[in-house]
Amino acid sequence: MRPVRLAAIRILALVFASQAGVSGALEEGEQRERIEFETKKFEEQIENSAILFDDPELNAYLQEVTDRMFPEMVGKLRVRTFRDPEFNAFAVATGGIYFHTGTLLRLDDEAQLASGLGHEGTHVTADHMYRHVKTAKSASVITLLAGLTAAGFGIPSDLISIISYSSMAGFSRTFERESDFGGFERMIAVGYDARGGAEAFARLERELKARHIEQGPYFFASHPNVKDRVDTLTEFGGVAPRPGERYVERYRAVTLHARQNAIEQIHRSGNGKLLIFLLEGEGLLKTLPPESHFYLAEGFRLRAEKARRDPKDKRSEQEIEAQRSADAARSIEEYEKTIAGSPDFAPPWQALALHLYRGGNKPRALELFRRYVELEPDPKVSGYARQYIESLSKELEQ
Amino acid sequence: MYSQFRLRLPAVAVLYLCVTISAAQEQPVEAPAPPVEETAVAPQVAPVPETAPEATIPVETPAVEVATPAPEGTPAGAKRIVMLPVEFTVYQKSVAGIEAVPDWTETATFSLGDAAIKMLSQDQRFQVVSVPQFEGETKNLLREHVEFFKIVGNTALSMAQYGGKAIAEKSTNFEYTLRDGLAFHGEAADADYAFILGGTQVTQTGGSVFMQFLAAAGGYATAGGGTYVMAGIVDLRTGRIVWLNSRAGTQVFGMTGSDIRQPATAAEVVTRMFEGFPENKFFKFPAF
Amino acid sequence: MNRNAGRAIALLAGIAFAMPALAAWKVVAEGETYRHEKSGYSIQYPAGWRWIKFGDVSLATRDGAPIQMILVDFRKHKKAFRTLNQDSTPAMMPQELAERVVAEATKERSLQNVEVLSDEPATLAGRPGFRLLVAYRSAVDAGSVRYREIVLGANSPQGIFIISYRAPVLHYFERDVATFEKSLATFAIVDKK
Repeated sequence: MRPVRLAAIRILALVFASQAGVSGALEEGEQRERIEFETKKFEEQIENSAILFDDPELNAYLQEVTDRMFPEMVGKLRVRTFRDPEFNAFAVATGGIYFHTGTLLRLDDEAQLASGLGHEGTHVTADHMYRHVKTAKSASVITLLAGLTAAGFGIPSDLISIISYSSMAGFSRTFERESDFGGFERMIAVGYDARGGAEAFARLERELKARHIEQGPYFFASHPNVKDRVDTLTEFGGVAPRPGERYVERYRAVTLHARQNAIEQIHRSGNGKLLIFLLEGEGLLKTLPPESHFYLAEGFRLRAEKARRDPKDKRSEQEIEAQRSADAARSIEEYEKTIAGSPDFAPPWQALALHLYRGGNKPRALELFRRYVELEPDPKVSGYARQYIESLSKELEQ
Repeated sequence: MYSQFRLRLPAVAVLYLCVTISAAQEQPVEAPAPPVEETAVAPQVAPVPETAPEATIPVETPAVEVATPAPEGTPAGAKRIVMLPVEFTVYQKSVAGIEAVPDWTETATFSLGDAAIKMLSQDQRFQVVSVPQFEGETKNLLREHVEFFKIVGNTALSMAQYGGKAIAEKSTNFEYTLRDGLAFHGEAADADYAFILGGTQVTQTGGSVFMQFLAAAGGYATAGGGTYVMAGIVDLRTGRIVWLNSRAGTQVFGMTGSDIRQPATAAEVVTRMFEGFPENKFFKFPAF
Repeated sequence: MNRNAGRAIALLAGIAFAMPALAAWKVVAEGETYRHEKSGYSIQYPAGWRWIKFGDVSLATRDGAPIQMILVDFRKHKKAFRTLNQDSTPAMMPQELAERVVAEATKERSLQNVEVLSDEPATLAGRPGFRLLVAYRSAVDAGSVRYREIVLGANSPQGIFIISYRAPVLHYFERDVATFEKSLATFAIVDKK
């Protein structure tokens, strides 16, 4: 295409694009209708899916905490537990708050929970969904113009996403601070410990660092820097934050099944590193029943077995190998601890037996497999162990 | 599980390709279309009974309020057919993205449902009956079967369109079924068949058309808008899909003829879907 | 809004699982054995079904892949579990392979609630292997339709062989599972070319 013609198209493009942005703006009522329409459809789909965690007692508890903080919104804010092991929660324009099982796992008490629910509830009361869409629409026009400018006038295309992203991040920062403050006010107004919010975000910050996850498409994708939020929430509490209620025992009792489910899901997804970080690093093991020690042992086993190097891992091969050996040894130690603490809990017996089997200690492995099958008689679950028992018995007899 | 994961990435890419292929193979529905009353219909057509006027039919579910008793002149032996609520969404594609538009959706849903009811009511082989209301588990079971119908119906149609010679015999030996999981619905409605109708329309804004134009000028083909409508009739006792059809029209640079929001276009689309009923360009169904 | 875009485009295309539909299907003749020379396996897909191959994968379906599908895959050990960023090794036991397959599915977030109904030892082409029966649902915006899948796998010096059968719980899984079992019995690991 000839340069003059190309330039003409680009100039035309800018004119059209700016027109498109202006004509694309909707009346407030119409935009709200669109948001509500889509949100209702989404909520209906969620309701019909299996993604909600079916625990009426837990849902009632979350609702009660929310209603205490938002008395004027009773019946309008609806809290449900979302089956997802990640550290997240979200609210939708129609008043639905979806709280992840993974977040329940990572919180210590009701004050921290109240901070999360207060934050999400404020997103609804402060009308953030509408304001966000309105802002995002303007931003997309900016993106378009920036894109065209970049394409037509030599600005590197790499910058386009940054232009767009920084605009969006700026808008979101305002909303998140608003929600942080709104949630904070609500929680202290009903007597919760003012330090809950800062504690929850401090934990999130530690997790992001441990998992080498940069700020971005992870927790609350457009949230401001987590460190800033810890500082902000600490600042809200003042030099001497007011102590208040925590209801640790109640929180742990009602959320137990959801927290166990989250741990099981993390285990099933094979993320040993996260299991170790949460159960040992963050001390969550003490908040779970004794048999949960098994998942810490599994964490070490999974981390030791991870075959490929994480590209973000900056350690040397020797260091990694040393850690693998240490992890393998530690997993054995933890299996043994689990068995000592919960002798009737079947899984560690099999895990330990497998380790011994691989290591060549077949007589001891056979004993442990047998114990496992005694505790787990369902052949659909203990099929492998039965097979090992059969083959090992024959081998050892010979 | 395993396989779904493995197929995901290439499938996404191919979906886009399919839009292009669909555009190449399908004739866009032309507009403006004549009102349905002026359109030629099947020879068995009886005098058009007055179905419920617009005011008495909730726009979301045009079928619900249709009178249960057979209209005067409905011949004995007419199959009782229940029309499930139409699921049709109209999206607006702008430079900012794609959004569902509630009032357009409402208008299009009503237009499509109304056209379908009129079409079925004109056909002496059918007697349209009301949709029973279900709650709880039964409601969920019905919902899952409708979603299941979408999977089965869309698979049958895509196999017919893109499956090549190996699939050709399916067009004359159509054996897709939902099995008998909807029998409860037939009993509750005292109906023989269910009519299921739905689809999507994506309408471009000026800005979106411009972006498409710009991309085209730069040598990139991008998806525009368009309309997809799928309809089927299911035997409620056996679950067999006894009739299935779809129509697609694409919108290129904002030019389209298939705007379902227009009652005349909706009627035209439905009429064309029923042309030659029960046969169509995809399948040769046995006569009712 | 991207989510809507994807959904709208999928609906417009009218197909949820487009690739198998688009490609060149072939009808399986009675007694015909399909050999994947490069990956080193053979199988008799059910007569009258349609089959297709892409890369190391071959699959067969009677009515269309979303309705029922038998899929055979050979994965080299290196990056065998890409989602997990993990290799497999020739020494891995069937139980360990099964664990990885489940982990991979669990990590695939568009599937809801992957539930392992059974995980048992099995033989595949005469080799010790695993057999999983799992339940899950399609994505929330794809209707949350219930699916079941049987996955079998076995190790070899070159890589792992995986064969699976999946279908919606409503009607199709039960209807075609016996056909799958017959086909499974013909699966063999052959010399690679």
